[in-house]
Amino acid sequence: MNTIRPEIKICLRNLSKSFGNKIVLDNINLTIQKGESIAIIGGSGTGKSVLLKSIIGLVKPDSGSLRIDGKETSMLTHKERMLFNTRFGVLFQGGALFDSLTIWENIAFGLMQEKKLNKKNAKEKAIQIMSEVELDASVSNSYPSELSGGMQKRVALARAIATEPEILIFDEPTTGLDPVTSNVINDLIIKSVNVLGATAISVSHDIASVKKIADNVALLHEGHFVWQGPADKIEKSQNDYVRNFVNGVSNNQSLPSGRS
Amino acid sequence: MILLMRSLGHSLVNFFASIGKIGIFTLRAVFHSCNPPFYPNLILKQMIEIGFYSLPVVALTAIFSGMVIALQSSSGFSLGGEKAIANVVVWGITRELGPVLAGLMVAGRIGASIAAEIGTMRVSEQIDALETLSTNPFKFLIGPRVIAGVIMLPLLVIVADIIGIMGGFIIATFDLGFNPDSYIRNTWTSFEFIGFISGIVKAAVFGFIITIMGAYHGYYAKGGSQGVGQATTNAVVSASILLLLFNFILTAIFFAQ
Ligand SMILES: Nc1ncnc2c1ncn2[C@@H]1O[C@H](COP(=O)(O)OP(=O)(O)OP(=O)(O)O)[C@@H](O)[C@H]1O
Ligand SMILES: [Mg+2]
Repeated sequence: MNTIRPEIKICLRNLSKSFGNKIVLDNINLTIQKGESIAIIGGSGTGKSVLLKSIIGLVKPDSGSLRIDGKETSMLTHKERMLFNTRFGVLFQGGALFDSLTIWENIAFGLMQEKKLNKKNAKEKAIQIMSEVELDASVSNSYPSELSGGMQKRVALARAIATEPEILIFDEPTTGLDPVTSNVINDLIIKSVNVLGATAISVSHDIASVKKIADNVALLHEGHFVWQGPADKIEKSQNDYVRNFVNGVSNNQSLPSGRS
Repeated sequence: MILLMRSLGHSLVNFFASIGKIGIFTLRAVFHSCNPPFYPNLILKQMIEIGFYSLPVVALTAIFSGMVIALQSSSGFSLGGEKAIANVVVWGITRELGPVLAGLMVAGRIGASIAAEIGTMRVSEQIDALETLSTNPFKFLIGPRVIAGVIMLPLLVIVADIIGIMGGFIIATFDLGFNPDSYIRNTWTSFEFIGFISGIVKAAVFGFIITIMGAYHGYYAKGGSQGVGQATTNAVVSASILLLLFNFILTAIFFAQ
């Protein structure tokens, strides 16, 4: 049944996180609807990865509320959290491929662990997903260290979408890729969101890619979201931070590191 | 003075904090090693890694120790002669040198590699990735290593015992000119069950200590390759010290009068 009122998938309220005396997230608020694709942008070191890791449960927030499907995640036990994690597909910023496993074993990992597919079926499915991310089946028995950076990124993407999760998390999926591969990845993200009906949260520095893959954009700066809005409005925004970020101008008045 | 006391108190607090952390880590490792899901092929792989590939180093240390005991005791007590030497070799190898030397060798080899592997997985976010794929790193990474360590170390020590005693035999017959038949007979009569068993129990405990220390330091590694290097060193040093400490405690328990 289609409901008229959109369902809230992820809801952050006054979420804060510091490391030592360094405040990374400062009372963050964010609401993500089911089926929405949101992009988080912001300068390097502003805490985008920390935010994603808080949502996945790898980083424990100091305070505030984080609800997924209406459930307060800080109340979950470790075991419940593990079960909860079947809802996520994550592409880590550094790839985080298992270097002791082959490419197909990496991609099929979730299929075998979570969906309990047997080896043969899992391998078939893995090879099918490899073709979707335009990876040649001949590398399926190679190890991650034998692949180029761009190929590793595609394997990481394949692993993230393999189990067809409800929530897709992409930490800089296209950084360091050539424009053609970037486009392939962008299209795949769009397809995953549309076909699977998944909710997607992507971190990206690439405005062109953000406009393609995301419905909404949130700009993180000094622990706050200084701007949130639809992706197609981003270039027309009058907000100083947004204008400077989009045009690559440094915010001298507010950036502490005065690199000129 | 106050400053000195304060920093002393500080390091004391840190010391007990890390004891607690290791304690909790150990309990979690044991709990998850004993509860399903198990990963039989991962356990098998680790058994081969820890047991089979450690055979050369353990065999070499064992044969030289057996030889050296025979040599030393022949120059040490010339009175007892043949019987005393067979006796010292058997006792020395099965009770102490077999388990301790095999343990120290494996601590260097396996403790280091476990810390490096798990540490690399930690700093490259592979452990995070495991958790997002609903796989518990304690069951998937740590359990198989601990189980394999506890099973394989005793087997390695049995091999070390046999080869060590053979080392003693080689020196006794070829160098000291003893009669091989009577030396073997003396070896048999010197063999005592409790000494052998104490060595095997020690080995199982050492296997546990080595794998836990490797896993612990790897699991909490941070800060890139330098952090992994640090974790590796800490794993080997702490495993070796704990191993010697527990060797003393177990000896005291087994042979308390
Ligand atoms: N485990 C940690 N311990 C201490 N500090 C951390 C930790 N993780 C992140 N930080 C700090 O938090 C800040 C934000 O880091 P984060 O990785 O989220 O940045 P980012 O926005 O993803 O940057 P980039 O675009 O470069 O990936 C950084 O200053 C970093 O030093
Ligand atoms: Mg980041």
